[in-house]
Amino acid sequence: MPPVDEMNNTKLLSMLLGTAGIIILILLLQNYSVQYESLLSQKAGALSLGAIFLTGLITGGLTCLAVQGGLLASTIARRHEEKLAGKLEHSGNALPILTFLTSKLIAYSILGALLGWLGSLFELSLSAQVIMQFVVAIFMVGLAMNMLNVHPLFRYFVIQPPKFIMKMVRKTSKRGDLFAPALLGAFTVCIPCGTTQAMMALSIGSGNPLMGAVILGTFILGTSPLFFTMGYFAAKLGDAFQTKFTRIAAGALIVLALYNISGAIALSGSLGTEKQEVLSESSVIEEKTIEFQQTAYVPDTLEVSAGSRVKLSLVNKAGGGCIQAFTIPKLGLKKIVRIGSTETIEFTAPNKPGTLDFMCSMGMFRGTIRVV
Amino acid sequence: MKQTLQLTIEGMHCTSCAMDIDGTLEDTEGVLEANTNYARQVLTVSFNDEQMTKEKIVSIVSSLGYRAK
Repeated sequence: MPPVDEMNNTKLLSMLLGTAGIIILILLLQNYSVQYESLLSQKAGALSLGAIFLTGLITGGLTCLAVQGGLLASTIARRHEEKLAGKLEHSGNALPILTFLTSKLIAYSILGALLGWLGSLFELSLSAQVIMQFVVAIFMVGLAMNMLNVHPLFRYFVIQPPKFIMKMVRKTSKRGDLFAPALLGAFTVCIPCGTTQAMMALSIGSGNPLMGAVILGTFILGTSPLFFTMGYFAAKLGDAFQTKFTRIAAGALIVLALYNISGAIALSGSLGTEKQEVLSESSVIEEKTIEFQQTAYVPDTLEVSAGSRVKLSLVNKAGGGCIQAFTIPKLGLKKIVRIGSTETIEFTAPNKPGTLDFMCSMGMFRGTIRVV
Repeated sequence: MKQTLQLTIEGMHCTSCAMDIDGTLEDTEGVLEANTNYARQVLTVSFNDEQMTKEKIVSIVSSLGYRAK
């Protein structure tokens, strides 16, 4: 492994904070408001992805770089040795780092899709889904507490990969060929750091392969700028900055976990509720339509008469991910509506005026049926 | 002659650090096996005492940015 030089920390911090500031500004300009109400709104999904990207952006030079950066440096050093020995005609640091990062992005997106699929198995019942979301949130908070060094007990939340996997990855890093960085990038899925493990949990919680891939892909994309910069200059952050960045990343994890808990609480409204008989007698039939847009149910507010029989057409025009799993927790109703398809659900509105919330399976995208 | 040593490691913030310590030590001549448990913050290392000493191991760990004692 080549010697690691310390960069000018002030310049580096300015650069990183500037980048983070720009990202935050873009998110705010796009109306991904950080107000509490918007966390509960239909734009929360986008905010969630913004927070995931930001977490990646901040942690890219921390835990992810601790081992992976060293391994990548070994590969680059080996390539330089071979170049000196006349074995390679073209060589440079940028290409192997980019190859490494691209391969890593693809590998993690595939892993995210697999984890999302795994999570979708829990969608068989609402109670299993609520439990899973709570477990995911607890795991994330545990990891955040570990990052903040709150208590030694929280170290047990981090899953340590088996030794043989690490040996296999290290062996790859000692290869000097062109494919070594790509192979190494793909193998990093076997040695996820704490923050990555939190994102993996979030992918499982999404309960959808596409959403799982987007979550892990967004996170890895976020880690890439800092990883590239540090890798290119063979630099590392000083302890003081590591501590600050760790705190920010832990804060972001807690926000994501709270967001998950909020979704789980909303979904838990269905627990203990008997599934309403859709064929109950009612003389009045009301027909309503809800369209699934990319990040919203439209309209997000409907009115139905108390005691009426409601026929709800669900038209999915552009809603991917968890938005496809339409849920009315209070009635214990759930319907999967794939993009481009239309489904219908029927139910009898409660006899007393009130509200029925509807939402996606994660509680991210929401709306209300007002019973009048 | 083979010797086994247990050291407490301070300064790790992730399992990646544990993997880093193990890998670096095992790449060093004289070290037979290194196992760092992140949760317990303990390094168990086996080495050949004719080629390696406790002081050298502590020094290698320190060079990675962690404290061993």
